[in-house]
Amino acid sequence: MAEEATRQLPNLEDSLSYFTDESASTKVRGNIKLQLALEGIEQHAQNKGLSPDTILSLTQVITSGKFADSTNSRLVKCLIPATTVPEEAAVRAISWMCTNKPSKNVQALLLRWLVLVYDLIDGKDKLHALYGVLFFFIQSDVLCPHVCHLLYLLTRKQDVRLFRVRPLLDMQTRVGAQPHVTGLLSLYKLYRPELINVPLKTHRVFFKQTDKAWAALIRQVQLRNCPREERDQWLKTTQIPITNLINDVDPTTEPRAKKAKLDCIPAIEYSGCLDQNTTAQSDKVPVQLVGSFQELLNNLDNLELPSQAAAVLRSQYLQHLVSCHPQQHVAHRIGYWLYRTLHQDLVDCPSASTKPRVEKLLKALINFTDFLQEGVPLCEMFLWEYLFTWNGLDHRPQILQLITRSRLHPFQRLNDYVLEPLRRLFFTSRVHCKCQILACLTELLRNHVSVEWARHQQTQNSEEETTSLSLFPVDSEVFPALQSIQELVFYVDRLCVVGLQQEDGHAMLMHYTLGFFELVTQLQRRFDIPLVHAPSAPIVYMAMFDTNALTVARICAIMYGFREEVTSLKQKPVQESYGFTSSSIRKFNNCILDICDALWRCKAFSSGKNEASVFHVPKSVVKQTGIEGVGESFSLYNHIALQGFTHTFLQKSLPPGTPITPRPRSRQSTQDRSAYLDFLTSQGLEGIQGFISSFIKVGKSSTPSSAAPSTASSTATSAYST
Amino acid sequence: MPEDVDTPDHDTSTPGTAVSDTPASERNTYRSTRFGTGVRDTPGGEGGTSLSVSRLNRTLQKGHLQRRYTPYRTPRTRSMVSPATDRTNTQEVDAQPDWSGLVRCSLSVYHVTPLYRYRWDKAGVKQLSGALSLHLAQLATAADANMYKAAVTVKEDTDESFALEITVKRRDTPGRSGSLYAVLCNVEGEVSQTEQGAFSVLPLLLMTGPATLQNAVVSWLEQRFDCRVCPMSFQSSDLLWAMALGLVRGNSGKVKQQTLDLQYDVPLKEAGLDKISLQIPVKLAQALLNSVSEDTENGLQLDELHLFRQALETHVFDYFKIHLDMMKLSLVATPVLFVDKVGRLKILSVDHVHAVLRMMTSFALERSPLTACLKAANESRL
Repeated sequence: MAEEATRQLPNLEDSLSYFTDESASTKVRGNIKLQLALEGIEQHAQNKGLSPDTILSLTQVITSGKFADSTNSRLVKCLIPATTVPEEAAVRAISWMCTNKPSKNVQALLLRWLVLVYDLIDGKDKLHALYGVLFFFIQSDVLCPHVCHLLYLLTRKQDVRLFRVRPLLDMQTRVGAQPHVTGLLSLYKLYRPELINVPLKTHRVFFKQTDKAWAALIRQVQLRNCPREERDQWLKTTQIPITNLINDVDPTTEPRAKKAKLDCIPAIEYSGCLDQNTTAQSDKVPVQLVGSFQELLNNLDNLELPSQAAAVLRSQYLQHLVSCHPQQHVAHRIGYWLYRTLHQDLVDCPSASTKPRVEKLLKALINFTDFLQEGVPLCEMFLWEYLFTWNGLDHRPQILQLITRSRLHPFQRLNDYVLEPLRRLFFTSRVHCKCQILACLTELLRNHVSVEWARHQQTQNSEEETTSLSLFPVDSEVFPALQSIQELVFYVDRLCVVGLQQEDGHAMLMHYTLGFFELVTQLQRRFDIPLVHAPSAPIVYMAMFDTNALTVARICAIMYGFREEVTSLKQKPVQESYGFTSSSIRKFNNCILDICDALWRCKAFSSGKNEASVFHVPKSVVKQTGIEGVGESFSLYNHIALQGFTHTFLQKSLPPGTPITPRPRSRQSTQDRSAYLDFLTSQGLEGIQGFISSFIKVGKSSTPSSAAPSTASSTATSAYST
Repeated sequence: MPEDVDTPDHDTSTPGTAVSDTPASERNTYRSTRFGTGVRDTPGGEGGTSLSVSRLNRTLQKGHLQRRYTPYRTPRTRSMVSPATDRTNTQEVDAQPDWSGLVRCSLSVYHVTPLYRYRWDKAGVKQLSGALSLHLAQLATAADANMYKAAVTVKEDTDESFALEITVKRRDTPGRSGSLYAVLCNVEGEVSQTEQGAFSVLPLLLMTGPATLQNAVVSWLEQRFDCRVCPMSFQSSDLLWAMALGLVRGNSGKVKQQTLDLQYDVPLKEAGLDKISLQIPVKLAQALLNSVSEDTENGLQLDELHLFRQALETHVFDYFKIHLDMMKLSLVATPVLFVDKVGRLKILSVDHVHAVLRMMTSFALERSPLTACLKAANESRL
């Protein structure tokens, strides 16, 4: 049926020619040709849209005033652009409206059309020149909503003048607050707050979307005509604006809380009288008008900072602005405000009622510092004071996270201000809190080595103050930063030792301890910090004899990583380095030997042990235990953490029917063992294989018992003899 | 009145009390228990590095390093007279601007972070009056939009320091009722306001008037100067200093009130008892203060003040068996001034306004972290 209809209808050219033909009849009633031409155009417009030229010629037809109102209305409805709308057409439409010949209905229709296709008009300067003309239409009650919407779209800062504000305000007093007038006024107020003194009502939507079907049609046609890759872009950026832009400031933030009290961050406001020379500021754009990242990029140099600098916490866009144009006074204003506000709510008069808003503020602050990758120095000062009286409960996740953004300080200062309160909390609380603190200290170290170290180096090296790495002022204090980091590592090491003892090697605490040392064993290779630190012996042994296989594997990986660190440090040209003394190496070698003895050589309690060894137990005591083959009790097969894996492995590898028990050590072949190690690796315990392969040179003989021992010790000692 | 007190040490008992910041200080104190009884730390003691489980739960414990830094900036000594102009009362009256608006009314004390973009010239100040009127009009409803008349003026001092005076008057009622008077000043603070650049430092705000108006002015200041205005609350040590000021300065015979009033909060509010007040004749209090201090005017020490307080409290304990030392001081009334812990202040004599403002300014500056960072801010001014 539809196809038949199209066949009957004239094509676009014919239809157009009917309208452009001077001699054509303009009669509506009974004029079949006119009807057919109209339908032809409608059909085409709704399917494919009209080209700019067609739109222009149709506007000419409409504005000639030749045809009746009903025909004109239908034609306006047909003006669905395939690509863009020529500016000429828009100007023509407005000019014709000014002649007052068309009826109010057609005028309104044209305005509605302009609002709908506003984003598709190919140039806006000429249209903008008609701003003053358009403004006169607000006197008409019918046209007012549409004109207000169009003006809202067109307004630039220089358009906001007192003589325009006055009639709008008059109108508001005359007929009450209309959403569309309020919408326009609030935009004016945004640009020039000093001109509008009255409080404005906030409406959810300023401009009603009257032409939903029409808008959807235009959108569909546009989508159909766009190439695919452009379409995605277009979908993101171009939208026919319907919503109240001012009220939803930032798409990334959650909607504003109803009660203002819940939200203590100042609103983004501009007070025009602050500007000492208003002319220079006239091209500044308020951030509320920025709707996408693309727009932000375009306006980055013209964005205006709100009058209260702390409002940047509200908007991601403003944070971009602040970090791209670092200004000291802005940084100080933010700092002062944050310090005072946090101090007021947390130290001076803490109360249960302020908790939600403080939490919100702290979260915003954490987002801000994460974005900048630096802490706010005054917040750090606040933290120092707060930690002194902190009960360890209020806002714990946020406070700990703020601590991680701490700057590099001499260790004494860091200890007195931060570590001491944390230590007190650590030892008086449960294991869960201990883990949180340990995670916080790990992140603190990560921040120090990955961000602050570079910043510190830069301030030390460059003579004049550079602000490229930092928004906030940096102290150019001279102190041994490396030593400070080393002492921090050392401190956490001892904290872990005592914490693990207190909690009896709790699995979760062990996890965080190992996490910390996994970071420490990357300092040299990943962060280029000439610092090596091996976990102290109690931690190594506790992890080694843990019942958790992953713990065993991870400590092996850490030991192995430490060896890599040392070798890579040795290859570097000689420079000042820390944590690399012969006594620490000796202690570490002892640990390695013990692990090798236990895991690989099955000689855990054999005689002739070094005094420093953990297996240095008198023979008589070992005998008293009455365990046969006590030396093998911590071997790869028998280690309590690995027994489950041994069982699975043997089940798979031994021929069915044989009892599942590992062969005694003398009868194990190298192949067996390496197969077992491969199996462990496949189970996610690759640390063990890495450890064995790096510390033990497996001999060619089938019984490794003779080859392994000497190599293990020689590898260890040769690698670390200084 | 017990005059010789042989326990030399009274604790610094409340949050925010003095702990010296200097590395060489031998008087490092820890505030530890919830009752605020701290124990003095002996320096150079077992600065042991061992962390042992058995010691962990002790409330008082040393770190493995001797503590050198504390976050508090309260000084241990204050001078009750200004170094230059303040020698005698007569000179002071000549040199100072007219503070009579601040006398004998209940003032709320606020502290203010540095003001941004403040213009000191006449045009700038004139603009401020307009802006404040406008702000108040916006807050008011349509009916009484023009109810308030605001004026902002600058009070100039001899030595280049000045205060900002804010007056808001109701148009419909004559006189002071319903109107607001506020002074924003920096009287001989450590950080002088002339060090300004992008910022000016006027840390102390005193206001009298209806609370709604006060809030309106506070919000206007915050928006206009991008600062933060917070009500100031006073700790026990602050109140003690204020009391000392009242005693030292209040020795002229003209004053009416001849008693020193102290009020203590009772920790557990039972049986309708929530405060205990103590009234002492000023003469006796002054004599006691003179006996514990060597130089009351210039170098009064915090320790000496604590000694004074302890003497009083021991006395009360002897007679009434009340442990005042377990309670917090909440109000002090002297012939010169009246202060309470929530930040209400009344200055009773115009002669002493300057001295009181000076002390309040130093309180306000101690609450703001700007001493270190202000210079950097000004150097980097655009």
